[in-house]
Amino acid sequence: MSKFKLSDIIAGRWRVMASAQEGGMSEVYRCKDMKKNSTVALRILKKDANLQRFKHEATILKRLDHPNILNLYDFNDKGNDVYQIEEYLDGMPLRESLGGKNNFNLVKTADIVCQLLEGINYLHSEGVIHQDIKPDNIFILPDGTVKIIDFGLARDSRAEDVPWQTDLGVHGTPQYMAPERLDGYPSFSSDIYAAGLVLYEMLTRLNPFDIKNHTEALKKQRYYVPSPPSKINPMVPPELDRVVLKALEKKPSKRFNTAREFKIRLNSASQQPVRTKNIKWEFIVILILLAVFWIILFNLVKVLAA
Amino acid sequence: MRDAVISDIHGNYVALRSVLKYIQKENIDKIINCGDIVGYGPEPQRCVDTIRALKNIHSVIGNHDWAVVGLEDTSKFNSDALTAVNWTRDKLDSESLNFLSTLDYRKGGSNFMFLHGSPRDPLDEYIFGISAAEANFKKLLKPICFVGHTHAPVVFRRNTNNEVESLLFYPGKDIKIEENFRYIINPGSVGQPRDGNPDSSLIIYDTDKKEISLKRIPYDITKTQNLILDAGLPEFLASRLAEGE
Repeated sequence: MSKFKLSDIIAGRWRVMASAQEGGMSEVYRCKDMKKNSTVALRILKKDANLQRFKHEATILKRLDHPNILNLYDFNDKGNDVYQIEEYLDGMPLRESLGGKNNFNLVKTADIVCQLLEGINYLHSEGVIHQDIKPDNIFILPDGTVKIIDFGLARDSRAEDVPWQTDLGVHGTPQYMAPERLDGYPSFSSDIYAAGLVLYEMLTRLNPFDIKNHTEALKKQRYYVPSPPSKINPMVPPELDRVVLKALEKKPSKRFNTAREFKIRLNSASQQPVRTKNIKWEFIVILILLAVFWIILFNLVKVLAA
Repeated sequence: MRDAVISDIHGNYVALRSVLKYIQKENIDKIINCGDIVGYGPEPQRCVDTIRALKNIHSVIGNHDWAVVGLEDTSKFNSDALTAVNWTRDKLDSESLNFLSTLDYRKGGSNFMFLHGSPRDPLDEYIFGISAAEANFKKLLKPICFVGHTHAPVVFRRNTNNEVESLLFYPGKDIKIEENFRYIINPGSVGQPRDGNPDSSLIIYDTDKKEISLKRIPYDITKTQNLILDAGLPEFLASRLAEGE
């Protein structure tokens, strides 16, 4: 049962404009900010959900400001209701578009991942490791803008631990966790690895590791070397194979040093021609020209002989 | 707070029951289980059921548990271990297999972590000697790390000068946990001790006194041996229990 109904006014400022969307630990309402006359999202914590995690996310988001990062306007933990007031996102998570039967579009893929890497680059410059980069946490707006969401696992590199993770258990999505994260030593490079896996999945529609849980990830993320994306999708240029596999190196020191460096290499690689495809067309054109030439020559010889 | 640290039950329910009886008398707050609930022993289902029914236990997965759920590379297993793994898989119901497959490989508390093998290879590496301990001290996420896998109780300590030593550790010889030092501690095995003493082994960790003590609990070894032989498991798995080897 939703906490608020349409037209309810929360804290004297936010009017509920649409019924709640259920999330794992929160309900999200589209609201009108009556003070600023703008649309916002109000994310309210469900009863019995992890308050520490919710607060931790808000603390990190509050100090971030970048076009590719979800904007947090306000956070309230006083009184009965704990909620975040966020930028309202219209659009869909990248995960949904990967599930569809859309045609592969290299330019669009590169654009999305480049924006993602810009966002990651900014996070790292602020000392934040996101720790849960995956298609579900990358939101695509109708105009194509990318927004990184869900900072519940994010780590402030200046703090020793994520405050709500006191059990030392393995937290994160095993399919996107870099080997060093599974060892308990996350670094900025762990986000680069995860972004590499997102790119791989966008290029091939497959995650290279068939992983169900953290223990399986421990083995596969450490030892399995994924095949080049072009083996699965011939439309991927060879240079892009090299970029993806560099991001997925097992040792952080062998990956790109920064998300910005990854972005620059991705940008350039995605503009390379797909050789196999072009050779095929060139070959057909040459065959046609040869056939035309042969017909002309044959007729010319016939005319001259007559 | 008083915690009991156990490991390597290996399907030996008779031993597990004796250890739990002791723990019950000792007024323990929680049990830390460093993995390998099954493999080798004749009563894997009873062991899993017992562990699952306990309210105050925190378990990680071991390499035999992982092999039984069909995900561990068993090429390094000897033939007796492999026979036992395949036998165990057939004896466990699907809920138990699912329970084992969802165990984490690492857990911890405010000042300690625990896993089965070693911090750098949580499932497979054995920490027998100082050199393996030295390498693994670099991977510690907390000052104390409880491990299992070798079936032999041992304490490695690293001082503030990064010097690693193995400490004498036997029942009655308690060890003080010093501030600023780091520890890798193995409680030995409940179900298949291999340090020359056939009694089940466990550690009591008193977090208030900052002290660990080793306990050895006798159990009816003949009963487990007979169950192993009746199950058609390799004879060596029965005979080694009496030797503690």
